[in-house]
Amino acid sequence: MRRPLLGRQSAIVTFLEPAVGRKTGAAIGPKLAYRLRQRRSPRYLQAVARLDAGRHLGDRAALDRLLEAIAAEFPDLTLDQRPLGLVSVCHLGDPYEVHICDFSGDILDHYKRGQPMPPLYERARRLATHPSYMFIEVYPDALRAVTATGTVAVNE
Amino acid sequence: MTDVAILTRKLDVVNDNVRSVAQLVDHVDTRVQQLAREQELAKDQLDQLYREFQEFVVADARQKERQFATTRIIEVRQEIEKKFGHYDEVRRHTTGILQATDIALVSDETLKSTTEEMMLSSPRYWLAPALVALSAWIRDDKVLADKALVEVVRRDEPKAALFFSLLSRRAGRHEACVRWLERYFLLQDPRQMRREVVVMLDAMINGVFGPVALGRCSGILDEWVAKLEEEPEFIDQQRDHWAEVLRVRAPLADPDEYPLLREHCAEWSALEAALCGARRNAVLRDYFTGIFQEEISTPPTLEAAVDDLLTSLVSNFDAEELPLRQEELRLKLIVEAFGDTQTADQRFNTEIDALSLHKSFAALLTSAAMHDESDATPATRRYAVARSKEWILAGYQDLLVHERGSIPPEVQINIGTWSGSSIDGSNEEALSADLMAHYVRRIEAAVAAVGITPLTWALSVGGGALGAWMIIGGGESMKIFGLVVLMAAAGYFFFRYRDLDKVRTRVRQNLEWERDSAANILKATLAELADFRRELAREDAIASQVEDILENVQPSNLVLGGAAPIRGVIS
Repeated sequence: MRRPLLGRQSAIVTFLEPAVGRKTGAAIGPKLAYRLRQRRSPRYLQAVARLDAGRHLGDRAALDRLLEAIAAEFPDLTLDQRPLGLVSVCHLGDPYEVHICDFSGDILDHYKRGQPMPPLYERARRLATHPSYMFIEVYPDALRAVTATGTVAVNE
Repeated sequence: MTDVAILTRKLDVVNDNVRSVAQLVDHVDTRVQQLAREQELAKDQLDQLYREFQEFVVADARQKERQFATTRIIEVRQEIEKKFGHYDEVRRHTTGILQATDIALVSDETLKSTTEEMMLSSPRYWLAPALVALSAWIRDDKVLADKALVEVVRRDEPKAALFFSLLSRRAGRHEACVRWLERYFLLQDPRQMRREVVVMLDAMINGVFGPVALGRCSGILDEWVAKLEEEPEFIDQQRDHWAEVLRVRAPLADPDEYPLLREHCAEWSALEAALCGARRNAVLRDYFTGIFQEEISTPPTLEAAVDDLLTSLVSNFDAEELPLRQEELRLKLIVEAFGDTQTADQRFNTEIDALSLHKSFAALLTSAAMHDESDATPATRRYAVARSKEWILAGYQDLLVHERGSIPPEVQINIGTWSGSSIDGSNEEALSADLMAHYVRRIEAAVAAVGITPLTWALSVGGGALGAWMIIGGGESMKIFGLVVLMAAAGYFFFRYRDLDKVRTRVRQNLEWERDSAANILKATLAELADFRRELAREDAIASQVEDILENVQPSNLVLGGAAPIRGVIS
């Protein structure tokens, strides 16, 4: 059984507001791929690092800060071009292995070793536990592995 | 009493006969079981033979491919020699004329007659009129030099521009050198470059060009790259291309390593691919380290440096030779892959750029960085890696993330009828217990399944019923015979029933032997899995060393001072 730590009611209306991302002239095709490949900002990396649930168990504010950082990281992209969520190593300790931050539902879920995750996120599990990557951004058609320095590698 | 005695004797005889029949049936039963085991064994051996035969067929085909490639390489080289060997004389004369003129040992007449003879003997070859122009220039025969120059430009203008640029540099005519270079650059399209541009790179990186030409060269390289990067797909293409170039550098796994995982692990092919991919990291680390640590020898004088470049320009970049050189490359790769044409073709597809007539400037850098066939010098190779490092890193990191994501986190181990899963072999205790429990269940089921067979039931019941019918409905002699039949049926049933314990013991012993064997295989397989995961982690960690090597490279530090008093650093 997955363990929802935060409720689904969203406090980040601005992030979910379609008008934010629906700008004209949004990148598509190779330009979008290039845009999503760009090094992630320190602010964004720090926001993800604060998701360490050992310190923010049930902390709504930590998730809100991350959602704000996401919106700031990809201001030029439409909502469907942004990551669906993140998967990273969970620091709650054994038996917890990874956690998912699902941007669409504003929830943070922790998963135990061997506990099935939603199919879209399950494919990121192995990479998320690899020490080279800080977290994995999950997209419908790809995974983007982000290192602690912000560099991005793509697995399509 | 006499009748009873007779009856008793007859019954004894019947009992003996029943005992004999029971023993015979028992013997037949044993033989049938033995036959079943032998049939199982024969099936296993047949399966193994089939696998070995398949392996033999593949190995034999590869051996033949390798032998053919080894023979064919010699033929191709002979063909190159036969078709283009006569160009060698013309090529040798290029530096020969220059060096002889340096020390004024050859008369103008000899120069004139020799170069004009070459013009006659090498029709269509661009270098022949170039040498006529050179000798006319040395003799101060402007009219002939101009005419020869027109012809050489007609035959191959880019090579002529580069050739005369280097000649001008050798003669210390900086302005002419730059003008010829400008002409050369005008003829270039970064999307469709010719191979000989490597010579220009060599000249620049080895410090042969003067400061003005050097600045112009480095500027034009930036322009070429910028022009390529204007295309939105360029970065993606470069990254994918580099990922493929690096992917085929993975070494092949030894067919004898991790034998138990090969046999008992359902995901072995994925594990093997992961291991080969991880071992590639050390190959790439050593390759890139070698490039940057290799000692680069510089020619003692400017003249010697230019002569080397001229020799390279006239020797290595003739388009007519390319089809044969491409075939030679493919055959060489087949030999290197021990006859595995599929692997060889994968490498060939990534290395063919080095022998393509036209390619983009980025592909040219890739060839110079990774392939011997590019004819780039070590200094140029180093520069090409440095210049391409962003693309290499992007391709390498994508390759890593793809392969790391494909490693099975947990693998299934199949031993006989048992199967279990393990991540790294650390759950041996649990798996062993599971295997034992599996065999306890199997043994119990197998022992419980041992019982009176339908045949025994049929014979016993049928015989009993027949005997009873004869006793009830028959005459005196029939009654006696019926009694005999009834007792025979009962005796047969009794002997079969008494034998069941022996069968149960045998079934139990067989399965216990299988269980012990499976337990040993499980322990050894888990030990291999633990070794495998350790090796995989160790080899995977080397990736960071490769990334460090590439990240720390700076193209601006890689332009050499050269032999002459020429110094320059690309800004």
